[in-house]
Amino acid sequence: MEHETDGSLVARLWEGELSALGILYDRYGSLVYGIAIKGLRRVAEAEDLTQEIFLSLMRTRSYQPHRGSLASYLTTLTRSRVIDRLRAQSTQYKYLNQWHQSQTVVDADTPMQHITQQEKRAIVREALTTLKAQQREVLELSYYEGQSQRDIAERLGVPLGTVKSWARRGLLQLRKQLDLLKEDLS
Amino acid sequence: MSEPLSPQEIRELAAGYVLGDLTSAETEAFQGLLHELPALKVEVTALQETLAMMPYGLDDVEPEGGLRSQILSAAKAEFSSPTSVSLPPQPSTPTFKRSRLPWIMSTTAAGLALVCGLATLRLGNQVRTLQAQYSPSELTVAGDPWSGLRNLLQDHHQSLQNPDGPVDFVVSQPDEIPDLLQGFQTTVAALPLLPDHQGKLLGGSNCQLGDAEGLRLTYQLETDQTVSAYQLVLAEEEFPELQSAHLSLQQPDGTGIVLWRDENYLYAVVAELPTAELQTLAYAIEGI
Repeated sequence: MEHETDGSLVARLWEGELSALGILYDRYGSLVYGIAIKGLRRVAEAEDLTQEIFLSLMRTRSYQPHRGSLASYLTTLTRSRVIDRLRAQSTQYKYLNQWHQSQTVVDADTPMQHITQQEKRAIVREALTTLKAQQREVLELSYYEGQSQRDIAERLGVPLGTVKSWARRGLLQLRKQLDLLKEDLS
Repeated sequence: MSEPLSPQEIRELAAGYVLGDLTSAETEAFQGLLHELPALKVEVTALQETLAMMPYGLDDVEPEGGLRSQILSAAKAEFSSPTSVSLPPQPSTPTFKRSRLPWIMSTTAAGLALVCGLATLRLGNQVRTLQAQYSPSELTVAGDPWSGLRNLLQDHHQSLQNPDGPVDFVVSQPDEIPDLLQGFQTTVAALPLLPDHQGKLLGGSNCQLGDAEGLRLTYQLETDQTVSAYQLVLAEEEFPELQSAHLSLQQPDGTGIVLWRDENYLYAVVAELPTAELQTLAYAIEGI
């Protein structure tokens, strides 16, 4: 069963086979938990959310293999739930920075889906090291905590335009580096 | 924006678009560019993919070994009692704080069932996460039941039964919408837009739901389901007391509603769909 596809495991899970959930957790538990702890910062909350994500996968049956990888589905779901919780905790309801497109299908048919999770981790980490510290910080605050760039500007004490510039150039740099590293891999 | 943009400026606009940080003027300009330069969509997709890779850059953090068995036990418990109302797991320690109880739990609630997925309420001296059923009358504005729910459902159903079709005007692009609305002022960025791949935009309509003015966009999903997405302006004192980022309601006839708000508007999606699918649409509209 080591090479069983995610889609097959999810199908078995939906048929009531709990062993499939165990395998899926072994594959993606660390990834889901990593996003949760990055945004929520508390172990108990991160564990709670990790459990919620996997039970949600089992309950809602909303994952559709043809629309994207399970990893992408889980990371998108986890991130949105983290931000949801952060917003619910916020004493003042703050407008969440808009993300114009759902990311649930962006890796539906790209070379990135054919490399292993470990390879992805390695090249993304390497690519991130090429970003300036400010670029990376702004992207992370925005991505993992859903902070608006206006809030980030206030937090860092820099003009909004500077934050936008860091974020945009950081994303472009990340893309460029990932492209280069993917070429090296293939 | 009158001079042609350099390739680097266009790339930065694309990045800003993906990051959601464009000003309204930049958004207008970028949407124009998307029409002119089809290749730009490829760039946008690539940048979205890049952003989606971010979690792989996180340090390896392994949860405690007990979490795996805890999740499997919770899953097993659900399988063994499939008819019970699904309650998310209790946090191992109270981790949220809410300042007040927005609705009082009702055990006799009939009609609409309000599922408060992530709301955490202070009940007595205990803090707990719960997903439970509420009566719609317990969704309140300043202590009074919020009448907007009934209005939303009525409007959605009436639009489906309208012999002239569910929309006042048909559009091919979202940026046509603000000019077609009568009286209601909005920007394209504020519209409840569903990404193209998740639903076909049929058109829009002006809405007046009680005191709330706004618009309804109508979408058709691949499954032929019709979805109404609302953007409403309410006076601050008219906003229902949403203590969770998203509130989902399910009616016995299968009609569901998901509500959320930002600083300016109340948003809702209404369709004959299960809660989970509606929530997915709501997240897609919010772009998260």
